[in-house]
Amino acid sequence: MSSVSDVAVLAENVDVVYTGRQSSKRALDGLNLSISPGVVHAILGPNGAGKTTFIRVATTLLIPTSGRVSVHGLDVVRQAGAVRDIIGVAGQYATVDESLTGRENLLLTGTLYGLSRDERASRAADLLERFDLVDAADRPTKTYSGGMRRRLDLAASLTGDPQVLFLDEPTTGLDVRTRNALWEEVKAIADRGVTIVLTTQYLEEADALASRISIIDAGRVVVEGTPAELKSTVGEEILTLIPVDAHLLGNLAEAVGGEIVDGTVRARTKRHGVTNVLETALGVGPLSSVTTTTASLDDVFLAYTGHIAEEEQPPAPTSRWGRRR
Amino acid sequence: MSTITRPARTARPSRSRRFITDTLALAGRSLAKFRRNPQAIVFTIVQPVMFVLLFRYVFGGAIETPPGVDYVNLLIPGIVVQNALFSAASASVAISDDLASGFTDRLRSLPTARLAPLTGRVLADTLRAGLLVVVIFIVGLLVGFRPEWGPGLLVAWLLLMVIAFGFAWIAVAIGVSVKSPEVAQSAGFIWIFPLTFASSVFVPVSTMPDWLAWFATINPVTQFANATRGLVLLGEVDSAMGWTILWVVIFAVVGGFLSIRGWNRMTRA
Repeated sequence: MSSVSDVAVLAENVDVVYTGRQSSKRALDGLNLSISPGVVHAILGPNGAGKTTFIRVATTLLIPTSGRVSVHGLDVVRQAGAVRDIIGVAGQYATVDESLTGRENLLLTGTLYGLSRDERASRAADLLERFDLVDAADRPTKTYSGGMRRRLDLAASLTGDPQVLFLDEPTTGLDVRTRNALWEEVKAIADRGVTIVLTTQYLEEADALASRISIIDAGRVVVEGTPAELKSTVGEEILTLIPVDAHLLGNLAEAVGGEIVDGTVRARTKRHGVTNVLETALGVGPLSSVTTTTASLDDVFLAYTGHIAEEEQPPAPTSRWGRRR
Repeated sequence: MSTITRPARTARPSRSRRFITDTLALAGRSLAKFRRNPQAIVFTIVQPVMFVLLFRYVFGGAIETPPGVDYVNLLIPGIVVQNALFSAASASVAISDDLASGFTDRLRSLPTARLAPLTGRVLADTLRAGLLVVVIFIVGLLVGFRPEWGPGLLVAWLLLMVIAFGFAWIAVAIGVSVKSPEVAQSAGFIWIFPLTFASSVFVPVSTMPDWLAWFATINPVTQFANATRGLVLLGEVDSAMGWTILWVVIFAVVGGFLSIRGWNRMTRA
């Protein structure tokens, strides 16, 4: 077993099966994940991939059907209390109390973290300052804008000075300006050495914030790497070639190292390799059609998940039964 | 390698200490929520006042009372019982709201004492019931209610809060088991009407048909109303007091058990 300090969050063969009355749904299917301390690790996937389910398990809200998740070596099921002491959670639905003021929300959170009266007062004041909420501190949060609520939510998640911060789709539903401001906050938190586990359906967000990205789909990790590693797949051109003589499809595919798809040959190459591929192809025989496409991050996503990265589409509010995906 | 410096935290309070602190903090939050919602306050107060006025002046004259007993004196102790129940019942909607909004998730991901979100809510609704009882009592005095001034009033006030406490656990059990605040709204309140009307709260049970009188007699609300009347009108402990305590214990135990079971089940997929 790895020592406590090597791994911030470790998920081993995690299955979560929601059993309904008529049907059951497998939300996590043998998920394995290892997140190093002090990094921002993005979990990227389409709606329904299991991102939120994973966050619910890691934050002690949901007991997995099988498998094991630990945070700094503490088991999220058997040592849930100790895990809650060292984590912070902020989500898609800013979970602040609307009738309390910003300061009162932070004081309440401080109380629940077991901070003394003085500690929570000074912590709340610090956080209000840091998240630029001083002017609004003593107003009920129902008067806050969406961006202010997210900032307060983020501030509340830091009240206990967590070692690991879980952010579940933190910018879903925010406009671009607010989103960028929130990114800056997240970066500032990361700079203080807090491990951040971030779920998102936006490639751009993962790219902007994370030093490692795990793409998950259908409840398991399909590919993992640094943004640069994932992007190296992206720097490719895809050539679609159709030979004049259809009998030459096989030869052509073999010569350029491509595959036959619907009567065409598809070949991947680095950008500067396009002419080489074409020369090789023309050596086999004349071509009736040549198309080139540049792979994008979306293509990587598509290649691994079989879906297009989804556009903003806020799912239904959290269900107490944990059926939110 | 963990370079994170932990905050200088005072020694961790004991488990029971944290349970109390967290319960009080969350009860305070629930009461603040109520206090800052003028609509809720108005609705909470207007509704019982309307009942007092309706029954005192519209129906009251048509309701036969034992000779020498003024209807308003029977009515007010009944209405305070009804409203203690109403106050308790609002726990189901509040619990359900917090679950739907994700606030409960936040509480559960913090090192909050496990059951404090439930006990905090019950405490808040119990205290709110105590406040509502005082308001109705004063309105009652204005429309001619004449209690027996003495320690019986204080005991009655405490008893009404104990009743609210027992019922709040039933309401919490409903709150944790229904799927949406809308369902909690109807499921939480619908049983109060038959229970309070088919009881001695508004009319003497003896005027009801036999089958209903039978129900009304064993109805816990009748016992609550009679126990309260004994204390408020005569300064005496009525024989209904025993049944009242028994019912309250049953509600608290059954409601508490179902609440905690539902609460703990939420972490299951």
